[in-house]
Amino acid sequence: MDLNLIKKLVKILETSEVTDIEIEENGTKIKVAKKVRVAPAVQTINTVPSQPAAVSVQQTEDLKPVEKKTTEETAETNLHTVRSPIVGTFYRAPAPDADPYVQVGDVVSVGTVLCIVEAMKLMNEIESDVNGKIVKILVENGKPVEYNQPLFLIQPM
Amino acid sequence: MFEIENFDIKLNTDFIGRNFIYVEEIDSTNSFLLNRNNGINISGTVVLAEKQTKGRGRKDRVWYSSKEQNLTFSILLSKEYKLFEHLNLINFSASLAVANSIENLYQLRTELKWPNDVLINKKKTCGILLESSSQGSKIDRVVVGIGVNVNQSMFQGQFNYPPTSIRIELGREVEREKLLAEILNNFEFYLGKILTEPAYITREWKEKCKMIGEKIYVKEGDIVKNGIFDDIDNEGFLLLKTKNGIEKITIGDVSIV
Repeated sequence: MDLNLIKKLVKILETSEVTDIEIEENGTKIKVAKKVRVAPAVQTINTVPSQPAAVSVQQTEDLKPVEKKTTEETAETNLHTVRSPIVGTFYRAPAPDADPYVQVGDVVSVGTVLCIVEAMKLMNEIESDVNGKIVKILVENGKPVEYNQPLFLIQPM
Repeated sequence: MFEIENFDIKLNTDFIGRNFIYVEEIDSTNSFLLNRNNGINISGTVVLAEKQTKGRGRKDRVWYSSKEQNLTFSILLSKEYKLFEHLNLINFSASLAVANSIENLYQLRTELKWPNDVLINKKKTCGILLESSSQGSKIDRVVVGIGVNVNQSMFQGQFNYPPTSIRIELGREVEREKLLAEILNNFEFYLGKILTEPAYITREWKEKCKMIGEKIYVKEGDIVKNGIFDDIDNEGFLLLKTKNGIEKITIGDVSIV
């Protein structure tokens, strides 16, 4: 895949009023789109058309992780992603000195509390919506998260 | 003793507080309503407790309240998906409801401290903590926990922010039943506004916040950010003007420099 091509497309998008560009070349489809409300631009790269991987624009400056992530998510297509329902701050434990709700490798069931996302004194407990095993925790404790940002990858069981 | 009849006669709502649960003692009214296993699913349900053994605020900070002198209660909003698109405005609505109720009933001037503390004479008289739960990404219940210092005459100990009560500021005891009904009436009014005119909420909130334009610092854990409280955005987040530009603040304790 030509990374410079993606960079060029992102640049065109950023400086124009067009909201998305989609091109297909040698069986690889590249779609670059921006969503004005959430972030200046949201970039989507599809190597497999049915498995879109949305990556936020913060990563456009360094395109290598984007590529890596796409490969990972393609390899882990059967994983369930838990996303943040709100904009806020991600916490893995109920209080600064408490143990995390879950660790990588833990088996969780529907209703198990995974984390808290806080915004303006609203503490939102996110429970698992599947039975499975925690494969990856995608955000560090105490970091800001955007709406719909992936937080956990769970292997359904 | 809380006289439910005196409360009921003043309640003028369609759904907030229509299902009313009064308990002498409970661990936390928020935890009780948040837990689906307790079987309470009627939206608008209010639980009032005379004593909470584990009343709390942000980050499990303890909320102290003397028995039978104050109002500590929680309101359940269940499956109100349209409202849940504006969670931060629900938050503002709760603080506006309390502030306006105190002004209407006792003619005490109140102000709001971001995001949702209600102050009288720069001292805290009400704290609010919202808790919600989502399975995966779908939020299906939101609990609004409100603690109002009503008739408590003194506060001992160390506090993050200096406390006061309506009684201390007014110089007399007040009727808790009437105040609770007024708060719930106002809260339902503001919830309606969220759906029809969301800008009304942020406008009202800004009018009651005296910190906008002031030099403030925002403390969250070990991190302190300094700047000018520039404004709030449409979603209620604090916009802090710093040397590096405008920064959006989603959490933290705000104080004037």
